[in-house]
Amino acid sequence: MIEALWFYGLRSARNRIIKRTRDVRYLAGMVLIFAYLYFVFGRSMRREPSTGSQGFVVLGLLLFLVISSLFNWWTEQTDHPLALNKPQAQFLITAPLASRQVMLFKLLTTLPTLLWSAIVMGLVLRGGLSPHPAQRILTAFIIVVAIQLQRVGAALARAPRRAGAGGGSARPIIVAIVRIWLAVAAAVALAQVASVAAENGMLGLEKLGIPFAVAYQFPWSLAVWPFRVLVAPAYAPTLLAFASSVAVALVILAIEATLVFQGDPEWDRIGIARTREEKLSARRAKKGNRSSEGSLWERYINSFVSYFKRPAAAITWKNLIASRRIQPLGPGVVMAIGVPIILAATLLPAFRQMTSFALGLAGAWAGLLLFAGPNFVRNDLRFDLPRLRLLRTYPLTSREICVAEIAASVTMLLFLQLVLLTLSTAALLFNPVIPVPPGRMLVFALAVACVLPGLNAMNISGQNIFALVFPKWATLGTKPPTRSANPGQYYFSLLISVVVFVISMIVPAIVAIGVSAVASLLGTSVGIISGAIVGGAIALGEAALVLRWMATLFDRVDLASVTGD
Amino acid sequence: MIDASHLAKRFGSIKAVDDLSFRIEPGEIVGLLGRNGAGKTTTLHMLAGITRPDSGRVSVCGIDLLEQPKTAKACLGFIADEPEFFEYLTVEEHLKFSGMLYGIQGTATADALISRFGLEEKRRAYPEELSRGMRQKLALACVLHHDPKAILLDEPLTGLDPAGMRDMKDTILARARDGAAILLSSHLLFLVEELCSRLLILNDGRLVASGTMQEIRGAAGDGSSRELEAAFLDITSRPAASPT
Repeated sequence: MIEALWFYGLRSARNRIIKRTRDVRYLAGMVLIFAYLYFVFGRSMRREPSTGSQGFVVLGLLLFLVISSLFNWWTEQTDHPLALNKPQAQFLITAPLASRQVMLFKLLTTLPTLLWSAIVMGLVLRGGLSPHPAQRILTAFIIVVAIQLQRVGAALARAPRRAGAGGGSARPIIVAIVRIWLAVAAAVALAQVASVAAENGMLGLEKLGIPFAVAYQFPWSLAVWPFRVLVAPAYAPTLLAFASSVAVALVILAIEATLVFQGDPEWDRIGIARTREEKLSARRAKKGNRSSEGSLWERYINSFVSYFKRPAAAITWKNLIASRRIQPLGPGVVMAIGVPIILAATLLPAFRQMTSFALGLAGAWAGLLLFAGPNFVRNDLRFDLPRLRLLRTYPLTSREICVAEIAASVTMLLFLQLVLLTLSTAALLFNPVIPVPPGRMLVFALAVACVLPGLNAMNISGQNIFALVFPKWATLGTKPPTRSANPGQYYFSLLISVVVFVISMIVPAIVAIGVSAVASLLGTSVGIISGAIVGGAIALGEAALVLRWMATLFDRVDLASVTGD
Repeated sequence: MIDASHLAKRFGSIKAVDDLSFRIEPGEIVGLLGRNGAGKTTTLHMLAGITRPDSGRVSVCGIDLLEQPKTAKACLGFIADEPEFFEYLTVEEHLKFSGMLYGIQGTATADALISRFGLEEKRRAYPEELSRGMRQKLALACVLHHDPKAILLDEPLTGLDPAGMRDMKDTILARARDGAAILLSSHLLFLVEELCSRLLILNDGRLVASGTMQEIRGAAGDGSSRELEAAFLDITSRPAASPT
């Protein structure tokens, strides 16, 4: 019977590759991807890694591994990692297969995706690691497989016990112990990163006087030891060291796999139908009030959208409502408020030495919101494409639909950015460490606010066009973007979007600089503001042109390619 | 009124619909029949503006769907065989959303539809919490919200219990009495016999028969009046040719 599973897995993979390569779009996309990887990363493969970032990439990998594990064990997962899709549920659950055969099948079918992640990670991450790409790719593969096993293990361990099954009392204790260990490990890994940062005089951490290096000492270092073992092959200096470190890492993976296969998945509970019920139960537990008039956020959305008396605003309204229910903005809002609070704390003399750290944090978060924000805030066409059939029946032009869809994501992203910008500016205005006078700082903040709508519109439009052109490569629907299961894909799409974004900003930037230089004759502030307004307007104009093209793509996109049928 | 003229659609080498023409007058209910893969859903998709025909024209309420899609769609309602919903909007929010799309002010119509389709208790439920029949009712409520003058229905009775079927049939008849032109695609021959005044039968994407129930029954075989099922099987077993 297991042959049937192999046949299904291999034949599906083969057919998918054939089908994609027959489609000129995807073939061209693949060629572009490999050319991009070769020219950006491949050509510099043989170079010695830079020593400047020595240690940080290793620690970054370690931190990624620990945080992913922590996330898997502490947070509710939207979908069970073993959840079967509709045809799988129909054929496999009813077939005379052992539960573990199905589990092995599910795990094996994720391997190609994990391998792709490993290839991208191995090519992209170089500093401080081995100069041999194969060594880095293999280590990355070990890491992503470990995370996937963690996901499955955590989901199985945390699943409710089957009624009447014995021996369930130890499981909550084990889960609690693992959670505590991972929390400690995450704290230790963070302290180790901070220690190296302090050693390098980064973010002003050395001025805080905190002995981060304690995290390297026994017994704390034990908490991250298993994770270090998994990362070790990435920087093994000799072939012997590499082989032995891989062997030890494989032992850890084998232990993880053995533990995972002790689990007995209840397929009826994690199959399609049950998953939906579980999602609904979780939603019911979280949300007491489901009325559209209920929450403050939804009342604001209603009044905001009703201001635009156009039918297309209904789509924007719907997507903004979804932002609260499907993709809560809570963490984003917490960061947009929390970071300025840290900045404001530096006004106090006791925390003044933290100013550079707080500025670094604010800058990093602002950059993340700008460049990676469209990957997280995706309440636009990417959300709705699986319902393309429905969208096309609406009495709206394709351009209206595209604009309304994009408007929702732009609004949300802009909201987070403006909260961060306004509060951060207010927090920094009278900080004596900042060498910019308050008046000039306000001008800068105003200039940034002028540019943001255009930047966001352009960036989000780019992401949506990617989804329209390559629907099979984009995350569509309300399912959140894949996290630990597919970091390579995420990292890669982020890189692509940043490159496209930077290219699209060349013209607005050149014009803005020119206008700014001319207008500066009337005063520096006038120059900055004029340049920002013109640059932002050109970016918006570019976005408008892109949206026209997007509407044409929307008309042409094949129904079957996005509905998943 | 729905007017299709020389519609054609290919998917790769397959002719899904080939030179299809028909007209449905206000107040008329027309059944669209055909075997699996005959081109019924593709036809409905082209009439609803979901799929663009390779050639031919579609006019809804006298407005060209391809040239003025926005205006034409404003008087059109379509219910798919598997109605689609937004999983993060409640029942009442779906009606609010459809009202906004079609420029309907206030909630009076939405409330009346919720009440009429017995959805009061599920007002704040998400679509996933609804039974198949309830989902069908919600789809119908959303479509009727803007009082369409042309309605396209793809297998409207799928998954409904006898009471739900009765409701659905009554609703369809009531809409036709109010002057809507209705095209109904179904494999349930008893349904089309009960509701439709005229039939269109597709085979391999071509219209192979059209006419009243009596004409279709008499069109097959020796010309004697027979059961619709026998006539349908006879007509669709012949190679696709010019319409009867």
